[in-house]
Amino acid sequence: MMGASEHRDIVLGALRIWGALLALGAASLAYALIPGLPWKPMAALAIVLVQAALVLGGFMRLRQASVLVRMTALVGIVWLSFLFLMAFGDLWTR
Amino acid sequence: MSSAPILVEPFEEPERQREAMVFGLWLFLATEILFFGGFFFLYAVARMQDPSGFAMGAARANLLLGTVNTLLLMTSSATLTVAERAARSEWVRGARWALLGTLALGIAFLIVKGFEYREDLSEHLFPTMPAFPLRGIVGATRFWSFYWFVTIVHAIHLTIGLGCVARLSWLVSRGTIARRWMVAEVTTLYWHFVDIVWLLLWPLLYLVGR
Repeated sequence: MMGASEHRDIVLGALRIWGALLALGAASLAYALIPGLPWKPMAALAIVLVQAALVLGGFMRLRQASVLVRMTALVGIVWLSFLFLMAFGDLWTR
Repeated sequence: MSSAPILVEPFEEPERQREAMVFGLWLFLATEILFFGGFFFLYAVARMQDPSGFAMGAARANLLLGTVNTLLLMTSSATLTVAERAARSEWVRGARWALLGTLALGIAFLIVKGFEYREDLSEHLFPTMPAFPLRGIVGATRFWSFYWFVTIVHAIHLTIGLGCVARLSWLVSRGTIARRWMVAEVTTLYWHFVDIVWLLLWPLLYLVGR
């Protein structure tokens, strides 16, 4: 059985990632609401990518997962990027 | 009571069963990435074709309620992570409270979404409504079509997640959660995926056009 310090580690580990997600969300909101700032959609998407990486690496523990699991996770993103690349390649070259 | 994980056929070792369960869930999530990816592609094309109309539509979305829901879902991911790790470490009391917290936050998300839908409908922000205030603006109409479709699909995913979390709570009440922490792990993976989808939707729906 675990002790109180280990319980605290479990809670603090999750809280650290939660705090980082919250800070990034606040940054995204602030950047969107301040008038006149450039590249707002790109900034929002960049922040979301960092948030997603935090959830994937911290909460979903993809960093500690086996190669098989990491490759499976990557497969969806790879095929999705093909969809975007081919479709936008067509749209932008018409 | 033994705390050895419950194994199912054909597995003889906990680590092999865990690897298969996590792999299977990620395989499912890969299909979900493609499923939601199609929606995000639609969004990108619709926005590219009429950026100003799209921003006009997005400016009518309720930023406050959308942000509250983002906060709720982020927090629920943290509580579910605590629940999963507590279950794995046989800290049953911690798992019980964290699961209850997750359930409460998930239900709160759906309630807030319900209030938001009510407000949207009271402002006739549904593209087929005769009094739709943005009629004739192609980008705005496409934005609101996307908004309704994708948020409803997301809410359905969240409702399924709530069912899975409720099942984990039931395992706690039966006293078997410590032996079935692998179920908690795959449930957590699904929930976090639904959270990531919302993290993507929040700027796309609520921050665009601000």
